[in-house]
Amino acid sequence: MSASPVLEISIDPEFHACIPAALLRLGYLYPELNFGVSGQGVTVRGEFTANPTQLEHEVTYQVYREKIFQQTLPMRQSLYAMLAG
Amino acid sequence: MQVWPLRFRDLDDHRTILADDSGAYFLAESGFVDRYARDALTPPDERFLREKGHAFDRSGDLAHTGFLTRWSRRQHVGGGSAYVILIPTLRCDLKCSYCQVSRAPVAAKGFDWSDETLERVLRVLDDMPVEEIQIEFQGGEPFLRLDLLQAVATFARRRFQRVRFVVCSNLQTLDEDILAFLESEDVLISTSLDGPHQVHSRNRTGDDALTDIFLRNLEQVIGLVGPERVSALPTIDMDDPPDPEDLIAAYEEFGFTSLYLRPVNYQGFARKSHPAARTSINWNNYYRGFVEALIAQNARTGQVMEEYYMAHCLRRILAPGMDSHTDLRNPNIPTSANAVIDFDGQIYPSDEARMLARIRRVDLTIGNVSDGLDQEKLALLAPGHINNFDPDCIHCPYQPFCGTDPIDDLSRSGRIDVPRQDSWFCQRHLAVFDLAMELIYSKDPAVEFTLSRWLGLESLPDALRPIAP
Repeated sequence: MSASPVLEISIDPEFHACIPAALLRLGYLYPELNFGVSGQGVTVRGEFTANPTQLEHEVTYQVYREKIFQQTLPMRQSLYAMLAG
Repeated sequence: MQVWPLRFRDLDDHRTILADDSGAYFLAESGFVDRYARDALTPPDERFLREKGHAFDRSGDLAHTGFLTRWSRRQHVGGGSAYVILIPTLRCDLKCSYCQVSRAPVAAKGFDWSDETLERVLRVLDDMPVEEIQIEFQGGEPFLRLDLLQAVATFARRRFQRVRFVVCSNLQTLDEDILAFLESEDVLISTSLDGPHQVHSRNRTGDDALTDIFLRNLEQVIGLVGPERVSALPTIDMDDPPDPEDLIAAYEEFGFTSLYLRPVNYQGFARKSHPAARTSINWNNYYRGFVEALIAQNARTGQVMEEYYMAHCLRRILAPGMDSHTDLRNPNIPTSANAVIDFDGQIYPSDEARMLARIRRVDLTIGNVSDGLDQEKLALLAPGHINNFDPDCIHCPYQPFCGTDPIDDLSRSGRIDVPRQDSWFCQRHLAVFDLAMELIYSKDPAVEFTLSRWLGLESLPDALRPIAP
């Protein structure tokens, strides 16, 4: 049983579908931490070098980024389609 | 209303920079990002985004077309002109501790173009589908083979409609023939001045008398062709960097109004003699301190000295098409029009690629002057030279202004797929663009004085500093 500190980060349900992709990126941005999906959002285990508030902010922003990326992907695809003729 | 994708990054605890794919940026409180991500933008938010070109109603409407135009101009497609680096000799008469090209001793044999190689280099130039070219002579010390420079120049002036030459020289040796070559108005000189006398001696000449000769030669060349055709840049040894004020003073002494601050490149001899060059933290701190010192001095004296790279990055933020600096373009696909031809006729996609090949780290040749370009290798290298689809860059507000450097990634990490934030290139450019944004949004009169002069403006208009409601 790990004694590592645990941080529970609540993420609104509307973003839950984007959490796995966000955690994939967070996993290599913070290799010293373990990120997992929980019922409320995200669980972080490990020795935090950033303060918990900052880490929560960073996790939230990564989820936001993933949502925006997925939501706007067709717009970007249309840009390249137009560029390529 | 549809909003083009916005990327964001905290500038500090309270402010966030956002930018769309066309490079249009703005500053906002962090609450804006929450509203944006939650599809809960307020009417003032929407009005702001519409006014600033971040949104449109229908595909093909004016706002949509305007964005397409701005976005397409952010993509560097090349064409029209070529920028070629030629290495007629790898021999050099200096022994700089940080020599990135692993130069050959001045008496060494087999490190110059042969007659046959020269002939084939000219054929490569002749085959380029352009009428405008800039040819940079690198080395070694190019003036050790002035005859080869003269042969290329004679040919290029006849072949191309517009041509410009840059000779990257240590200026240790001048004679009448070299001075005659420099007198042509299409020839520019780029040299190294590492700072005050003792710093230059320590880093480059290893001998005060040789430094005296260099400084006299530099003065003579500036007197001959004028300061506008001579540029100098310091290479900063982060183990013992010069004081910024001393460095600025050394450049002012020669009438320079611009300098391009560069760290020791983690290439060539520097890999052993300057291992600290591998990491970026100290460099980023020094660079910020230097720019701040320069801005303070400009305000104090009323004279304006430019740090070239910061000024260039500011211009790239503020306008598309600022692609004159070959190391910061996107995409930056290797082609014959921006290639490097080495002393042995091998062709590389960049100067750093030939440096890496020279130490036998990896073969990055993309052809040679006999057989031409290897299209298979070019195709392999191409995807690494575009940042648009990188899984980290895609989330970065600085992507439209930035580039990639897979060769540097290879040099430092042995691979090109390191997470961007772990790469020296990304760490350096995040720091540069963060600082650039801080400067753009600064209300400090000293900052405004320097930035407006660097950008050729009377003052900085608020239109360059959009802030979301």
